[in-house]
Amino acid sequence: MASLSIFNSESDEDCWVIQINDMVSESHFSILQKIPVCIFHVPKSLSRGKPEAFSPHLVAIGPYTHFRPELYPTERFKIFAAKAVLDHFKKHELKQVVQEFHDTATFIRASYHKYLDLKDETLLYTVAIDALFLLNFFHNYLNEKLSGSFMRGLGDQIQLRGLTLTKDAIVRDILMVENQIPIYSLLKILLFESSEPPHSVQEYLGSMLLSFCQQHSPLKITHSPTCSEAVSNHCHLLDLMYHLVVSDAVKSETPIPDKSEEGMCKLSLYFNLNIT
Amino acid sequence: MVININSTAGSSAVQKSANSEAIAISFNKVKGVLCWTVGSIKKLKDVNIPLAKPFKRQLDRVIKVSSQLDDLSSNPNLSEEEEEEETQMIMNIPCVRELDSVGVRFQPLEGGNMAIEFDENKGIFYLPVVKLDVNSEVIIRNLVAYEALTQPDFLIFTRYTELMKGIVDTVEDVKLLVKAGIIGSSSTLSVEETEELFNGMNKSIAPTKTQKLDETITKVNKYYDYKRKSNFFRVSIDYVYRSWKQLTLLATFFLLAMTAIETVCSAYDCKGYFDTK
Repeated sequence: MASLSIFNSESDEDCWVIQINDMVSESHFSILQKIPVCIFHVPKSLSRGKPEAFSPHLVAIGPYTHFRPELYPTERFKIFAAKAVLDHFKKHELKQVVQEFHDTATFIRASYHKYLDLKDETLLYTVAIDALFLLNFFHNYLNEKLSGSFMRGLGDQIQLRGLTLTKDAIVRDILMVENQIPIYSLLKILLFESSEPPHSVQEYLGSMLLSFCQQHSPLKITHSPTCSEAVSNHCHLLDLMYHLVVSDAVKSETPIPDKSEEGMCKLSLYFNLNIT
Repeated sequence: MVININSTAGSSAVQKSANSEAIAISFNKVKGVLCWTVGSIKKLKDVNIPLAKPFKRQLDRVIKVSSQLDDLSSNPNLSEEEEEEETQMIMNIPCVRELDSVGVRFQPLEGGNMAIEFDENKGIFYLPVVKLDVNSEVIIRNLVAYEALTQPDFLIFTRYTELMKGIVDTVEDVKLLVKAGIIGSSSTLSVEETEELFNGMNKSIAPTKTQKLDETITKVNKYYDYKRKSNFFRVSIDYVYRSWKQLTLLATFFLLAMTAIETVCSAYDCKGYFDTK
């Protein structure tokens, strides 16, 4: 049964009806049309060569992988890391963050290629915890000159009874195709938590992500966009990395015209919705 | 150029005269080096236009004969168009060591990473700088997968990894790339690991549609073929000149021997001696 249908039980079907209604409602439909599907499941034909390169080993990010039993042992690390970020800002509890997210569930679902068999609330908790964990991880990459005291003083790495997670394993895992969450969920949390103006928050996040990509990119990055562009034009971390590696010089001769333009407008639409 | 057996009209005559078993054997030989030849096939195709039809007919006959043998490689069965498709799919490019031997230099690329260029006049191959560590393989594989999932019409990064797989065959190649600065000094992988990384990459499952990069690759192949041929002449001339002294010595001895025989023969009756009867 499970292999023939996306549903596992009857209650899933009720969820599904609600989701469809959400999708076609006037306020959401026009935006949904412009949100690109950007987080995929890797098909067998692509992962055949080396399947272990496509499934995370240590940390699960995002709803595709979050509930895999083999990755669940690190859930506590993530929750501790998330809590550390929340404690750092001392503004909100996790529950409030999720509530703030509440109206974006439909849009988060839209970014995922596969049907997400999760209730809205579960999905939002998943994304919130993972986003906070990523922020905790990325804050080490902040350029201090640029960001001043933003997020400074947050512990280096989360320890649990003296154990830390291997940095390399995390780097590998968070750059996997299936292990992505939309960048705007990171931005939204930061905007909600931090008291800095929205523009500079976007700048800080961009600088974290860019320096992360620069450190770990397999090719030397010869040109890079501004920090705020990095956040607003790319759907997730791997997407940003890809566009940095395949720099725009070649993009211009892409046979598909006006793609970047379109991409920009759809993502800025996201922002009008989510920042305000 | 012997290897071009299944592509040139001239050599099909050779195949016709041979019996079917010999053909099958020659095909199997061809199979192994086909990667190397496809580049030259493309080049020869331009020359062969008037001969294409008879050549095709010859090929068909050959196929009929050899289809009885089940170990026939699939390559000769390809029609002309398929063969061309194959040309685009297979990355056939000499490895770094071979390119280096004909004087191609490698230089880090400036500007966009995927604007890989080959300067035919100076013989400089511009490649992006690679920086590899333990995470790189997973990252590269995921970038390839992501590219295939999001923009299947322009697989530039996939093609790039194929190019690297093509030019890196041995550890030697990696060392040369390190020396040229293409593999950055900050890479933490050993040369063996780097070689494994590039050669472990998958082939693309679809045409990559990367015209400009393909043109660059063709350019490199042309340059290599040209240089290698002229190298062959130069080397053979060098060889003759270097052994000039020995050759003179040999010639002198030969002449002296001839003179000696002539002298002997003028004194004795050689005719009678050599005449066995």
